Amino acid sequence: MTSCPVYDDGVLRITSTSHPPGLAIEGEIDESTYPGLVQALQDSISGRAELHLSLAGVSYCDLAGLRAIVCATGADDCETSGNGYGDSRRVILHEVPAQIVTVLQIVGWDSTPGLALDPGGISPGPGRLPGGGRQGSAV
Amino acid sequence: MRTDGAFRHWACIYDSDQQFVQTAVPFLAEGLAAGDPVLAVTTPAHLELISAALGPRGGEVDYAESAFFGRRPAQRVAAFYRYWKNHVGGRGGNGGGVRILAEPVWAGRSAREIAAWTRMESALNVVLAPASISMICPYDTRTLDPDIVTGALHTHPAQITGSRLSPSADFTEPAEFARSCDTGPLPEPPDGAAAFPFDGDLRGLRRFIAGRAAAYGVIGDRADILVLAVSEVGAYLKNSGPGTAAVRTWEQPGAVVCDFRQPGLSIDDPFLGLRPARLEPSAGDGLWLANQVCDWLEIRSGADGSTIQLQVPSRHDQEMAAQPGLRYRG
Repeated sequence: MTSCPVYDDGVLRITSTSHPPGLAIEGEIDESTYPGLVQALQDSISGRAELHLSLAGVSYCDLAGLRAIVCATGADDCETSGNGYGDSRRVILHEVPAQIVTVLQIVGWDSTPGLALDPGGISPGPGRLPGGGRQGSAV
Repeated sequence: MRTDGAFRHWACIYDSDQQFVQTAVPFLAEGLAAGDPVLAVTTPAHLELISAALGPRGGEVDYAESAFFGRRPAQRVAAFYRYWKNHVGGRGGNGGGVRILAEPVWAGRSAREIAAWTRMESALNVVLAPASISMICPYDTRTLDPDIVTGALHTHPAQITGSRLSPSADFTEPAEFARSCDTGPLPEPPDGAAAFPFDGDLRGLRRFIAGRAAAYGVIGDRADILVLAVSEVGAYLKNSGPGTAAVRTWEQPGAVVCDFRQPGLSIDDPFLGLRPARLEPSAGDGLWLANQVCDWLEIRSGADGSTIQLQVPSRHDQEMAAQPGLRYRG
């Protein structure tokens, strides 16, 4: 996989990937890094029918950031509210940290048309914030 | 009776199995005959009664035991909404609605919980207003405290007996009802609570609460859930007011509590945190998510500002340990 950085503010780092075509996202997504995330998504989706996002390195993602990722599909519900990105496309999430899977299921966005979670790629997460140790140590 | 259009919410106050069956079964059978999605959320004993009365058609009824269909009020609202959305919500406005028989669990609940569930019964009228759901909530006068039955008359616009509807004269406008539930102050943080002066730095807030969680022995998924909830509350406060809040956290028997106090912020919406988040963004979505994963999320607002207090299970909680795979106590 070749990659080149498209955003890095020290908290959130996004690199573009070519095989598969998409982005690898690492760090924390909240409102301070949200503009960087949205810009990177917008820049990467033009003309693409399929976008691959590797989330293995995401240590925190708030609801608004998750919405931005889901809306990269161009789902109708995003478009009507002005949060869409034009045409619809497939967005495949890889190595999704377990907590992001949980939140997707709670909010029901896991069934958004066009969104797919790479079934083999659920990540135990990149390790937690300082102080938040893991239960068990197998991972 | 018509069940299309917006949310309809009726109480069925009964004192015998026969009365229960006479109201519940025609309601469910009519829905089946119309091809509408039909859900019964009640006790195992009542599920048996319904099944026997419906005969072979009973197999088409979706069902859940009450205790497992939304453990807490906020999750119950979300469970109703999810059922509706999954069955008709995405198909435009022309289809029929769904029918839900929803008998809450009251036995064994604390006074605080009874107040929260009664408040939810009222809030449903507003929060689910756009959803084409017809809901009957059975109340058994043989077993319930009379105050709970009285509450049902305040929280349901109409009563139903058999197929006969009668308006409830005691129905209270839901916002007014919710505010009447929220008059008591939330507990003050104890001396020795850990404090964090939140100035809008969400990363700092997350590190503070992650550190405290570890100190309280709350680790792994539970710590993630607490960090998520606290960060979403912080984001809401940051976007709603001066953006500075006194954050304090402490452990009490069975729970870790986090308390946010923001002077100068007025929160007027009594249903904040109860409206299910959608892809269309709405203020309060983050509080809704926090409310889904916490045991409690309570809001008070007055002349001197607003308080938001949330609560998650302490390290002594064994429910999650007893159910491998459960990532939050839902």
